[in-house]
Amino acid sequence: MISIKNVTFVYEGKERDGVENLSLDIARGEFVLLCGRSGCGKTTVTRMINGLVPHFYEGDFSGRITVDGMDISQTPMYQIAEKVGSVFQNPRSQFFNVDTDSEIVFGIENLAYPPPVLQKCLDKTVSDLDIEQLTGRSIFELSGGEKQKIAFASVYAMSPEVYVFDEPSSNLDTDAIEKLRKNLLMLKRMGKTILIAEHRLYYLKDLVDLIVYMEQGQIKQVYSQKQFLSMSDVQRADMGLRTMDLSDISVPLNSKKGADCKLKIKDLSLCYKKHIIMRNINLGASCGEVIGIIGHNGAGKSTFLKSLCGLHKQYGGSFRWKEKELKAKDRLKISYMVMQEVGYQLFAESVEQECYFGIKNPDRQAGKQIMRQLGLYGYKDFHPNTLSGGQKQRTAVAVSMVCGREVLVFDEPTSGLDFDSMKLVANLISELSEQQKVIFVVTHDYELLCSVCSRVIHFDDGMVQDDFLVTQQNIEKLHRFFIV
Amino acid sequence: MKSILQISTYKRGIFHIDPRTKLFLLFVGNVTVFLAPAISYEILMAATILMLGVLCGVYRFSIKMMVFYTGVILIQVVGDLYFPNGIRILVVTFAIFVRKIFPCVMLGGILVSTTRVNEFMSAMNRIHMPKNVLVPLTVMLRYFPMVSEEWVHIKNAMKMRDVSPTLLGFIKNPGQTVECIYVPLLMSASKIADELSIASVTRGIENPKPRTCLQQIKFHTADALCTIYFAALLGLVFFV
Repeated sequence: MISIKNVTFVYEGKERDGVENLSLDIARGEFVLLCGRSGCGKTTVTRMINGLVPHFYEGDFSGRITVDGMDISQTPMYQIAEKVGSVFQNPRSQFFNVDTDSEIVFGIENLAYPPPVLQKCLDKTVSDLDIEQLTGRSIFELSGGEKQKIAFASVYAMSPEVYVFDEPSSNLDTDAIEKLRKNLLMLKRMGKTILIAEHRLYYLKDLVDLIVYMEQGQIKQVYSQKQFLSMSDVQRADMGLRTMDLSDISVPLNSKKGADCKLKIKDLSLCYKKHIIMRNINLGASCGEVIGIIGHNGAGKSTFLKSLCGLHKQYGGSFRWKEKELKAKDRLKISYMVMQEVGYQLFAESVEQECYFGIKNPDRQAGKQIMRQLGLYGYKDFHPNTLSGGQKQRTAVAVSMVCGREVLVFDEPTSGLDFDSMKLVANLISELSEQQKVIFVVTHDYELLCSVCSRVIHFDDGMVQDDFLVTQQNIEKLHRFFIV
Repeated sequence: MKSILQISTYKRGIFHIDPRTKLFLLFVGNVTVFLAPAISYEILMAATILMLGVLCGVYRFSIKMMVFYTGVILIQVVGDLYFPNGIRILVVTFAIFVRKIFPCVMLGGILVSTTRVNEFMSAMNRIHMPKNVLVPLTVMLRYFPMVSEEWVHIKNAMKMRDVSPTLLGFIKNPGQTVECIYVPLLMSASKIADELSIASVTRGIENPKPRTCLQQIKFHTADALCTIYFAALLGLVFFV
């Protein structure tokens, strides 16, 4: 079905991410997983099959790719699109329309199906994928998982033979990943050829036929499902891969609960657009504690974080810091949020300037110390946007430390990260915990949660469902939530 | 921004104007305002646009804009009468400038906010707009509502850095405020534009076959009414 022969591709103006002399054959109906560290070239392989390389991304291309007999480099994009459907990482920017119905038919409108057929295809897609509740809605009201479903539906409506997925689970919660898994299973049963580049592996373990492990633009090894699953954890971690089985992850035998509560939240209720979305939140947090916040998309986790940082003002109840009541304005001064899209919070022209941005008379000595500590000193003259995702995150953390913030909040710090980068984030958070910061981490990432959090708070249905330490005794609760 | 650019999902209001008519209205409206011989004429134009907005179902935006427009005219009149010489010229010139552009902004806002992307695309197909013009234009149209989402994030990021994302903050510290807005916005804009383009080309937007549309586009009575009315307003300029 798919044949890649001696393909080399180097992106224009970029040394990373390309592939070198790569060959791969995929039979009809096979389910192939591409994995490897960030920048290993797995995304490029997906782009070679949906035609983005060499049609959309510019660079040096040589070799030959054929999909179902079609020479990709010689075929226009719109013809490839009829054969190969693609679903991408960021559900937010995959939309062309602002309403779900139009979006689902977007692809088949381009194929110029007559309107009655469009309506028929739309109805069939909606019933096949069981998304009746999502029809006729504005895409701005949808959660990430729902958006991903619509993006998938739009591709499904075109009924391509080959499906290509590029890190589809990055922005999804546990339930949405489970739905994604079911859709993939359905495609597999229909005999479609599926290619998926992914960091999270656990949800694919029963689906894959072939696992392609890549390193620095080359295929290092091709495994069958059996071979791959029999690999030891140490070997897997050495390869920079996430776990294949969430139940293998161990949690500490016991975690210490913080002794003195510096931060106290009392009778907090949160409103969003005039609706109360959470009520009766009572909790305390002490220095050095790392609190994981879990809950489904739309449970109010982000709103909670924002109000904690003083960014969301529609709330009732009180926040106390060292027994002193804090208004929203005061909380802005003691807390700092590291956003999921960390690019929004970097403004300056170099890492060093970023650290001192907006501060009158900054303490440059302390700033240097902090940059060294976070491994950023070597990059101090780099523009923040030329750094890797992890380095950007560190820069944001450096800013918070220069400003002397005590409460640090991370919003999905590991979405779309490979094993190595996830470990780095975990180490960073542990370091901050040793410096006696109060840390909150909102995450859907079970591996991160188990490796760094000492305590978990579960938000759902408008209230705190549970609040427990991450220990062996509570592992059942975690397993239940993360569907292990 | 958010509220006006997101309602295009729903059919509201009495009028539903064809995108082709909208282009015509936008063109004629701008020419008319540009050629308007007197302030009374401009006010008539603004009132027309307001009415159009209400008929199209863009209530809040229209009303907000009208209040703002009235404010600008008041500033101009009051400034002209009572302000001391130096400030007067500054304020009045600025007010006139804003007043001149304003009807166009209002019209543009109303028309863009009531257009669905797929309607726009099939309408442009009908008038044989080439694909290499249409695709970037559509990406742009689609990007507008995303800016408002971006803005929320950027505003939060600014607050955490003690930079005030308000008009007052801008007046106090213009350089810093501008930097805080445009750096992240520019970065995310280029990324989003790329991702949107990718999402469209991998679903065959470049297909040369004439694109079909789930919602059929047709000219209605409303189109005829608006066309005649706007054409008449333009005609009036030459006779007054």
